[in-house]
Amino acid sequence: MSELLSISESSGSRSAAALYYVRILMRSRTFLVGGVVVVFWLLAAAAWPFIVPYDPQAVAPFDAFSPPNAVHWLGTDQLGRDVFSRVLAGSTSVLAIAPAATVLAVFAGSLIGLVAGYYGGIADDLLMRFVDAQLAFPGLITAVMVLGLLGPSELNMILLIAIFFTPLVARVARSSVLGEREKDYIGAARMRGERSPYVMFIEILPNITGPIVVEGTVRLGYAVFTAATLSFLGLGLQPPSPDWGRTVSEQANYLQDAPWALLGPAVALATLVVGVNLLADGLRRAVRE
Amino acid sequence: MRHFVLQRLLQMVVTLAIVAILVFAFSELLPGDIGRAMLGRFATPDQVLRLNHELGADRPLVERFVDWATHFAAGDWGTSQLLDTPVQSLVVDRLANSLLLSVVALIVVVPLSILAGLMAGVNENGLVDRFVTVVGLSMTVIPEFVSGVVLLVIFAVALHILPVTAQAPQGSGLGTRIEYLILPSLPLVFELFGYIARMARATTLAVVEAPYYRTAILKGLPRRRILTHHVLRNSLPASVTVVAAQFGYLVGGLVVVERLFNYPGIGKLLLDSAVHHDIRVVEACALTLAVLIMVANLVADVSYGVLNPRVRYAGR
Repeated sequence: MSELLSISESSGSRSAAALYYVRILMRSRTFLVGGVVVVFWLLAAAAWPFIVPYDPQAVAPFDAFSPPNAVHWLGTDQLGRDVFSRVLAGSTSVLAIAPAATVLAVFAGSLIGLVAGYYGGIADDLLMRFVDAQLAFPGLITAVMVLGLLGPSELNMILLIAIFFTPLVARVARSSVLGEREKDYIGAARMRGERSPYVMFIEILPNITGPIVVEGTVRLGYAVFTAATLSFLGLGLQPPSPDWGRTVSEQANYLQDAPWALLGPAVALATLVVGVNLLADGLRRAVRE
Repeated sequence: MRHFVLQRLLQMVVTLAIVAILVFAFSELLPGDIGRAMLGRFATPDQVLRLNHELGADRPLVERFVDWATHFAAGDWGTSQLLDTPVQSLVVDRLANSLLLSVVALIVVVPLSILAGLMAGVNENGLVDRFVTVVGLSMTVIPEFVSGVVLLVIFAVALHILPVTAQAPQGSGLGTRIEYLILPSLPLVFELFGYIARMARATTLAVVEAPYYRTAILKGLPRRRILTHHVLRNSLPASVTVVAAQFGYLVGGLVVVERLFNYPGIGKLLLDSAVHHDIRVVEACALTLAVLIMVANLVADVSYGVLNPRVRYAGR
């Protein structure tokens, strides 16, 4: 009975804490602006087939290189395809690859960080050496090598980004665990005879979700950055995909004829990365308060 | 100090060996059958076997690695299959181009960002501070190719102020070459500005909170003297370390910028050779870049010691 009571009590306080965070976040201008931008692109990525005025792949040779006008809001490219429709449709790939890679990295990184921080010793040393190696050699160079040699592939891109980010998430989880490990409630749980996995996942994990979520959002920004850059380098989706990075590198050949076909996806990508980073910044401040 | 440098050099040799093994393993194993990868899918199995034998790709991996590493160390980097030229001169040539581009970017960004960080730190929450934290952050998170494209459209297409290409006409002097590199270097400047400025700001804030800063003001020293002698001298070592630590990002940015502006640097060489399975060139590029980044990190650590007397004299 007393156990039941304590559970309902703690879950009650947890939802109150969640409400408290939401209230802080709603007051943060950076969070709101970032949120609106990100939600816009998420909607575009999910619902573009119902919104776009033209088929993003529809070719119209007689309409090629037409500047922005009332019919084609952002103009057309070298094949007469509608740039506005392609920009909306192009959000799908980056918004699939980046979150997938981030989620993988957050799960793997939290797990590794929990274990390393909780047990310490060799697991901990090994993790920190990985982080060092990560920071010493740029992931983009490795990714260019691996994806170049293996051939372009979205799945490999997701896995590579996840592998690069895992140690970085793990480092954050680890240092948060170190902050919690010596607290009284952990000692109490151990004294009750709880097993290590219980202490790690039921006791510690809920108390370090804040820093992990913040790190995850920051990583999401970098994942968008990296995925877009790799597909710009031709290591992701291939034409005629409207993917932003890919489109920019393709349209760079028509810089003089149709700069709008280049600017559309470029500016869209800029708003998305800045949006995600504003979101992360707002979250970080809320968690710190 | 000398002991420290020697120790770090020793560490570097060990790291380099590990990197060499990884680079070799990646480039030899990832493309699958090397002969097949080079000749394409229409070659007969016989041709593939013959090429593999010529390249020595049919020997055990360890033997190949030792062979490759000893040749590499002796300066024999092999021949590029794609361009049919010696790899070493190719890589050195492209590296020189990349270094010129990086130097142009660094000459602009280092003084600018350290100054901005200094001004931001001295006037916390002031105008410069807001600019550095908000605009600096945005500039840093936007991919280089995006800022590159926007800059290209503005300065080369709309205003016709700067050339569209990065390569000056053959035989032009250093001045003209640098003029062609202004536009390509700007995305790199944007990328690094936020990082360095924010770090310079943080170290400046630490100085501003120190008692000697207050003493200097209360003593009535001129503001300029306080900034140069008290703030800058104490915040500079950390900023220099950050610049060197950002070298890795800079190299990543080089791949992107060189691709966008079609500039023959080492980043574009790495990309092209990886896509076309030009294995020897991939290995040489990756290893060269790894050495470069390691040297940059070493320089960062050593310069921190040189610029900071507390560290410099501690070893005596």
